[in-house]
Amino acid sequence: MNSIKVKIVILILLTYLILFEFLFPANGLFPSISVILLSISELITDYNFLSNLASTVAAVYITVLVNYLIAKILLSVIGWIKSGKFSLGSEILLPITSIFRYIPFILIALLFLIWFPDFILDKYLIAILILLPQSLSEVFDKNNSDKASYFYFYKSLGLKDHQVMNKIIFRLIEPEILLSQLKNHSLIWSVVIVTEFIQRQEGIGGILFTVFKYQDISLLFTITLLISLLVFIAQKILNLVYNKVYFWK
Amino acid sequence: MNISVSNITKSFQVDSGLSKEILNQLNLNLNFDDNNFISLIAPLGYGKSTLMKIIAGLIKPDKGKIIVNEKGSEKSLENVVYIPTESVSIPWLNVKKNIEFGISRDKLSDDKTNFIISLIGLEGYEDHIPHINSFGFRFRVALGRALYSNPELILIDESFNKLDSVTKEEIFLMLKNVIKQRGTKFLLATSNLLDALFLSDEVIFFSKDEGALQDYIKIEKKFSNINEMLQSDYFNQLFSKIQSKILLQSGYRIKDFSI
Repeated sequence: MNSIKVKIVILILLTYLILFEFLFPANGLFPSISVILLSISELITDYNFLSNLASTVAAVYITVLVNYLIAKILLSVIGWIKSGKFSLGSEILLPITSIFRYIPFILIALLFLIWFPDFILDKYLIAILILLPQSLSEVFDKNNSDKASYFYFYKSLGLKDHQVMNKIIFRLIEPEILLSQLKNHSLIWSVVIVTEFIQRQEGIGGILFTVFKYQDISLLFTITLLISLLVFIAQKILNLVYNKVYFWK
Repeated sequence: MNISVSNITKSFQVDSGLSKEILNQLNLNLNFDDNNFISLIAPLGYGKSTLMKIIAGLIKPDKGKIIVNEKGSEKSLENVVYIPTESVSIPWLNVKKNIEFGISRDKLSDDKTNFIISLIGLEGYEDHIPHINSFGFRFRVALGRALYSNPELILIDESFNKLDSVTKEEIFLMLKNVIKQRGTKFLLATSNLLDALFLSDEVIFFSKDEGALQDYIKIEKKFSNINEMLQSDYFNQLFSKIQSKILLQSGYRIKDFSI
């Protein structure tokens, strides 16, 4: 963060502190800083925040990993099926991924939750169901002519189709798959938390349900603040890792 | 080695039920017994890339075949490397690893790698990762990888279009040096008359249509740089010949080619 951003953040914090700690401490909308600090301690002791957070974080990043693996397997299978001529399967997948864009997945997710209300893997499945088509369409919508060039060059050098696909083509596409996941990072968090909320299961969404039930605005505010901060930090770390690993992109 | 392109026809499906004919009963003769560098010249979109991929065995023609004769006997064409228009160096590997990519350990040799790196003019850049470099640099890397597999023939598909004139000239001199030192055979597909005339021992004008224009021009004189070629009487005569004999007869226009 540059100095201007730091100054803005400090100014906002000070304004908040003055407004809601001293001038309007009991306003029913925004809790004071001291109440937020008390709420953090309450979250950790009474709501088992860390273990619930671990459950949500696991669901979010397992979803990212599973989406990545599904895309990888799909590309390998397509590479194997289309052995002999280059194709990233766009002619097979584009119509499917285009259709996906018009399906209201959020409603299907709700149906899924009604059909299997207590299924422990619901949040994983729903997050994958909603995000995978988006990731795939982003990957397959890209112009693949440069990848075809790699395919023809290395095939002419005697490499097998699957070697070219796995060792080169997939590695060239890999950053695009992960980038699409990074772009949807906060959406994955939202989907997982909403699913936990509806299911009243372990996770941040589960805590939010209880907090909503008791209309505890200070806890709700604190959780929102903590999760926003966490998503922001995670996004920054992921961007750093991405730029480090895919320095060539 | 003599490569005969015999009655090659190739169509591609462009839409459901619609196909576009790229090559129609094409016959060509590529005489690599007398030539090390042959260029195929035609305007863009005339099926040069398709023909190159067919010669490399990367795609199959709908009809026709490629016949290869060496020392009087027919043989199959193996170990032909196709260098496409786009850059194909692997962006996460350094120059040395790019050149050795896909070669089995028992066939790797530091001496050979170093020789090839010096041949392509990248000495001192062994650990350099080529992803941010110019197209010319990456072309050298691709050529280095191609040379490592000791190919019978290297096919270059319009790879010089993105190069500036200085880099192009450097690359051309490097290619001439590769031919001199290794005797490597090259087939270039291009729409650029000057590139073809400067590099080649023989240029072939061709048309995708059956019975249409096809002409072979032997380039007898070699030049050390493009400027020298442009200022020579030989080039002027050659260019007049191309204009009168080929362009006027064929219906091709000079603007169909890049110069």
